[in-house]
Amino acid sequence: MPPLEKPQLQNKPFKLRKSFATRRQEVAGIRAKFPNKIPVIIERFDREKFLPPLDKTKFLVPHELSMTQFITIIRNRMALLPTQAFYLLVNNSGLSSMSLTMAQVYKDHQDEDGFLYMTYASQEMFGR
Amino acid sequence: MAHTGTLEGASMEDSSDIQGSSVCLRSRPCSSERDGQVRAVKAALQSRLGPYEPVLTYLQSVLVWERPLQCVLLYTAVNIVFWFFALTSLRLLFLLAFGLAVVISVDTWKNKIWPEIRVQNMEESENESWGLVQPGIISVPELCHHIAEAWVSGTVLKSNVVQYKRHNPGKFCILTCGVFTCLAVVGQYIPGLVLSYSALLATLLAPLAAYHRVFQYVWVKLEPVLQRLDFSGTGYMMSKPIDNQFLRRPIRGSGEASDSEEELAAFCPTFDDAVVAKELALTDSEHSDAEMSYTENGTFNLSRGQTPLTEGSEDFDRHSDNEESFAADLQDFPSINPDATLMDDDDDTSIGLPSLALSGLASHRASVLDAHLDSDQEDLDEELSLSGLPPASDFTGDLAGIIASNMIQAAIAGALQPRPHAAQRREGPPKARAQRSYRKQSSSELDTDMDGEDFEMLDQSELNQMDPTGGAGGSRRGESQGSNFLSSLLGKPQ
Repeated sequence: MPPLEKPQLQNKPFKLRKSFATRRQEVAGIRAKFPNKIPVIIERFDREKFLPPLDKTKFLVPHELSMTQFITIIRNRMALLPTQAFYLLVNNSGLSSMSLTMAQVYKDHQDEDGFLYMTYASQEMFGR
Repeated sequence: MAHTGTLEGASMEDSSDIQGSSVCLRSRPCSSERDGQVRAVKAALQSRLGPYEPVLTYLQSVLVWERPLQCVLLYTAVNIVFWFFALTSLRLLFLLAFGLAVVISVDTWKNKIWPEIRVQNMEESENESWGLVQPGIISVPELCHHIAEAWVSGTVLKSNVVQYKRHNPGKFCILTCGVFTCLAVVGQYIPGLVLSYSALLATLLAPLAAYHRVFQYVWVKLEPVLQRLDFSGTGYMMSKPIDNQFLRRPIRGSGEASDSEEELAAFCPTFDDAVVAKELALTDSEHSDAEMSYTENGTFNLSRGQTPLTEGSEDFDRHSDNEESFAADLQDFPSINPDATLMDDDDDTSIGLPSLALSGLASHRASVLDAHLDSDQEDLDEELSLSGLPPASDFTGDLAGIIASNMIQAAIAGALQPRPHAAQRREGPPKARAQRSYRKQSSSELDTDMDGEDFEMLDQSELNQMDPTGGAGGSRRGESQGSNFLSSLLGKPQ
């Protein structure tokens, strides 16, 4: 299934791909299934040129993970070189503190549908 | 962290996927063809394994004992299966046929029957699977990357072996026969059951070991031991960077008439393998407690003077407490042995005192030149002591070198005298000082004779040899090497 439809799915942001109700439902389902995990959507910045696309957009992240660890894991997942810059913007609003845990970030920045949206880019950009 | 630079505009988004993936794969120094192969295999694996990410993550977390109960169950199941196959009286053909039958049944069920009877869940199929983020566990893309690397390496190895067999079949035959004979001997003495069970256990325990970084820990522990084993006296002598100076020294110094045989003999260190091994282990291990213990018992200082290996650490010591070492020497002035102290005096006043008196000046110049390595530092000190006013010193290097060599010759003669009192109090320093003064001399000669010698000393192989010996201060030593180079460049015209 994925090879044909994935590219066009990847083009549109997650929020546009699915209706609000679907997303609500999905979050409810996954929270019931994994109560100790946070549903996170990680998407590439739409004008990002250098970083490769991630193979997944939806991630389940443990509560107690710190942002630093999370970024390291995502970097490893993308097989980034140490010289490559990688920024993770929370909720399109900016960088969060690296020492916060995912639970804290989720509490502050969670979307109304229950997901936590993040964007990655090789350069930090504000007020796009 | 270097920005990869997204400033070049935000166009060309369509090609960015391919470009990005080509840029961002962990590049290796080998060919791009291999990279391409790795990438292709990785993509294939990833599309195959992607949907199974939760299963794989779960399996990993079980294997690394994050879920103890499931892990115990897994171990039990594996053991039961193993011992069933080991102890069963069933024939091989039966097992083979039965296994194949089971595989085909499962395959048919999965591909033909299950899609027919299951409820079509459109929303489910449209859903992408979740990626699981768990610290300490490699994700599916990483796993795919490693597998692809291993796969490509195996392919390359196989093609190499085939090539080898084609080109020289005789050698290939001998090699393979040798290897298989070894295996046959192993199989003769160790029962197959033990071998296979240990292989199974190793497979089960390897992820756990990798998770807790046991391999790295063992390597850190093992490395000093291996180096100790590695080394013999002569090999050690030959492999040391300063050794080149020793070798070069008689050739160049023979014309100077300032060298006598005994002088040279004093410079050639006598090696005690045990001491040297200890020291090598010390410099290579990064444990500060070990260093502490060695500096506490005085043998470290002694051996440090003798062996050229710890040139760098001697260096640090000298620079960290230049005044202190001088102060320590001051106490030795009223020695019992008059002639020795006279010579010693001479040595100290000529080298040590001015460096103390003009320490501000010297430190200023040292900071300007960033001269950290002792040869140049001592050269500097010498210059200061001789000229008095260093910035305005118009002494030519020749004059300085001659005077210095005379004084140092006298100092060495004094150091070579039997000194019972001093020998009791501190065994190390005389030899160390002899060594140092030798090096002063050599450096002064270096200055006077030819400037190119410095460049020769700093060739790449020596730098390479310096690097692995540096345990804690490796980087700093390298830096000081570089600064020595710089200072030797800058310091010459003064």
